[in-house]
Amino acid sequence: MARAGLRGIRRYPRMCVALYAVQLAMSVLAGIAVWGAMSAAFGDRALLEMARRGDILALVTAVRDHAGLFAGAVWSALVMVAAYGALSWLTTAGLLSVLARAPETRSETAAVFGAGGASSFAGFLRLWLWCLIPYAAAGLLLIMGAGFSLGDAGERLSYGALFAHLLPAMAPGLLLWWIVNTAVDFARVDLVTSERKRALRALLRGFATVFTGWRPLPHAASYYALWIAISGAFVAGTAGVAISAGALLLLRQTVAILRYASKLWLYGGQVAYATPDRD
Amino acid sequence: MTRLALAPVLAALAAACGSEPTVAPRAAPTPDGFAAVRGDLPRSPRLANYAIDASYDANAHRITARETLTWTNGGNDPVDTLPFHLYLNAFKNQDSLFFRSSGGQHRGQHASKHGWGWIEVDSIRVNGGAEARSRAHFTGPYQTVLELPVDAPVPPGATVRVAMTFTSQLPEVYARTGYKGRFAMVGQWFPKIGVRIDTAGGERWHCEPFHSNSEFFSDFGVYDVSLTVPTTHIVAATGVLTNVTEGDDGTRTLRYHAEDVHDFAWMIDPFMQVIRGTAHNQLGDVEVRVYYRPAQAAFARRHLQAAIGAIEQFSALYVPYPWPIMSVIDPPPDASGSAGGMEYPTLVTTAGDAFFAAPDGVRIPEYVTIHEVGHNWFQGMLASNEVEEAWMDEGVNEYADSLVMDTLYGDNGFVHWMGFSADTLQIRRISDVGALPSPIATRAAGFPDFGAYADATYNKTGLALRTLENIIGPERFRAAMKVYTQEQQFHHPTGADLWRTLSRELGEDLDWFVRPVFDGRGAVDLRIRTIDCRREHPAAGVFGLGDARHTVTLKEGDGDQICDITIENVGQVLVPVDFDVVFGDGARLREHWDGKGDWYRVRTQHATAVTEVVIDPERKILLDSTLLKDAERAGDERGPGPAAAGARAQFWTQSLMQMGGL
Repeated sequence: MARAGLRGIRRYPRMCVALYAVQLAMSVLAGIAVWGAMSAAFGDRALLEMARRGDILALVTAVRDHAGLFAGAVWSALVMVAAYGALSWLTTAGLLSVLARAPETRSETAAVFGAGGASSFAGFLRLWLWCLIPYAAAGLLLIMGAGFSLGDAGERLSYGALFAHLLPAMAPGLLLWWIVNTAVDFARVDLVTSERKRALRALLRGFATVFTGWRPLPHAASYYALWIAISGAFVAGTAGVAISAGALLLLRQTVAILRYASKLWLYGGQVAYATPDRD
Repeated sequence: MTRLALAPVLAALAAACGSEPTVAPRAAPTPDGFAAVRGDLPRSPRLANYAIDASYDANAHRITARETLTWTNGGNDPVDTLPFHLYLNAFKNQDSLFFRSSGGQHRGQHASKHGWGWIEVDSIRVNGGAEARSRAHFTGPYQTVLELPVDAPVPPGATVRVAMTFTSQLPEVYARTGYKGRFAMVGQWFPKIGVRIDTAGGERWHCEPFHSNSEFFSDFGVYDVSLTVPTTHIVAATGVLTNVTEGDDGTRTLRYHAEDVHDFAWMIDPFMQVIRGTAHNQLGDVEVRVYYRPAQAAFARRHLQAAIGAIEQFSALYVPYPWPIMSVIDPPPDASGSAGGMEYPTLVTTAGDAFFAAPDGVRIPEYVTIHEVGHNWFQGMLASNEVEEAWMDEGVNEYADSLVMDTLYGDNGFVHWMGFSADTLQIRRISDVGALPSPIATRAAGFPDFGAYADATYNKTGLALRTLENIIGPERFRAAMKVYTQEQQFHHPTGADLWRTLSRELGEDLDWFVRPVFDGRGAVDLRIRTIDCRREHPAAGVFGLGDARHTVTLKEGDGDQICDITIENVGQVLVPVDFDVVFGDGARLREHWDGKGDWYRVRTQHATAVTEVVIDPERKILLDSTLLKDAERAGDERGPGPAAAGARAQFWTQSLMQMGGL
């Protein structure tokens, strides 16, 4: 699965770059909106610069005195995230189609991407609605776990102890979330590769795939671990370190690209696992 | 492995199994061998002297005790009643004033629904006379003050002996006192006489019902307290340990002696350990002890260093710590919220042990220790009335704490971690002290809620005093504060005493500051009103008369930029302030407004226009409630802050996109 994932990325670099560009563009739009709003409120004040330098008083004062602005910024970003999520049904379907059908030429790739996206979009939407049920169950378990453990989390004496305290209580929810996520991933592959776009059937087959083989779950877990490792390394390497704006921008994009690549790697592996005889 | 080394392992195993481990008897502690207090004796008037024999039932968390109070009428009027605080009755039921005023939660901690606490006085005899318990009655609807009429008035200078027996049931830990598991913090646990206040002819008792906002007020004296406790437990208490007697029933009796203190508190626990250090001051060495559970060892070391530093710094700033011991109790994490962060003479409870404070740069634990140790000055020695003038100990202590924190940990000593920073006192500007509902000088029960009480009593007072220090000058102000502490140690100073001493020592009437800030709701609100720049050019228009009349047309020159900067103070407290004028070529000019008048305008002439004005660049006027408006850019100048915020938002948005989509 791991090697197949890497093959997928190497085989279609232009498509990967194009899809990343879409993601980047949409997030930049959100960033520009926040920039504009912040500029109107703080452009003639030094408060944000102080906050940026880690001055907690300035940060809290800025947020306290412009709570509505910050809430609006968060909501506009979330709307953009939701829009990207919906767009992802199209792009993910296209991507999976390409990975599953392995077109040779650039024009074939475009055609397969477009056709796959268009034909599976509605199925992805239905799948999203169906998978709300298992996600709700996982969410409920997570909330219950949090309810059991967060109340006295403040009594933990180190971050390690906090982690050890929270993990057992949250583990059932996280476990179910992991299973559901992986099953949904395989359901998407199933939707793309099957003629009849029946979402519920695909979801059930996704669960069957997860439970009948040993590789899908560890494979997905390694993706999560990679994601956390990349993000953690970024936080640990940049927090409290003086970095120029340009370098920081570059670092952030490096992190984003690595995480994006790891997701492509995940999808590539899942497609290879679900369609072993495609080559 | 020794038994001691196994203890934490057994405790952890037992905790995992849901029960507490059995504990073995501990070796008897050795008497301390110190004099109870140092300096010229007696240090205080010693009006209220207590001898208490108490026995602690560790299973029921109950104390049975005999108390003999020897009280001297230090006033000029005869006294015909003796009122006693019975603080523990605040936790007796939901009808107590404490519960009604707190809604069952105190500083974020909720009262237990089943662990009620109470105190009952079983017998009273005055001067060895007949049983007088039946004559005593509670004042008002609450049971936290018991008033005892005496047969014959106690004349001025006379002494009366009141012998009582009483039972104290500790609550499950709440609002400073009580038990949690086998740990118990025992404070405000015995009948305690009120304080005579006001002047001759109008003297009266101050012995108020226990309100959730208010703390304590009592007279100095000598305490001889014997505690009979299980041999399995360790005890820390006010004063010095003078004698240890082993019982034959698994108990031992520890006798403590304290002089020139106004309270006695103790802690008992079977699992705690102790580490020791030494602080040095002008009167000699002070043994500092930190009591902690093994899991909190790393925090205990931090508390110890902070306590040593605090004793030495407070001693240098004000008067030397006169007692030979300081005990710092680090309550178990599940009791810390309620029992932690409280001051008693020679013994304090600390707090702040939590994962978020584990990094060394997050100095919440150190700050709590320094604050509570500091109370041994501003409350322990300068025993202000915390019910009527809570700011005199909490707020003045906050101000002093900030000096000690700055000395021990430098600028931004409160938080300096992962690129974030916060100064101990500056961070309190988060409270909008310009919008408080009550003045600082409000009695504790007079605030509408705890938030208003805390903001005024702690935050605004600390900010105000540091602002005043910055205006007057640190050296002069600190010297005046030192004189105040020297004059008022072992007395009950009031706000009027503080201002009188400061005004005298500083040679100026401080009413201009004190009246609006402490007696009113005033604050400072400095703002930049306008920044207007134009290129210098000859005046245009019609000039001259008659034949000499001529017209000069507007001609933009290439001369200097003339800028008019107007700053205003729309707050109620007018203060002198510096402000920086920054020009387009990077030049910086420091200006000063003496604070007189409602606004101030300065004109600058420079090759480039003004790009930014920063009021109070060194953040000396901490009472300014509107940090947001204190720095402004002129014209089209825009800083990098919004762009950086946009870039950060882009990255976070993209991260969320990657979580939820392709």
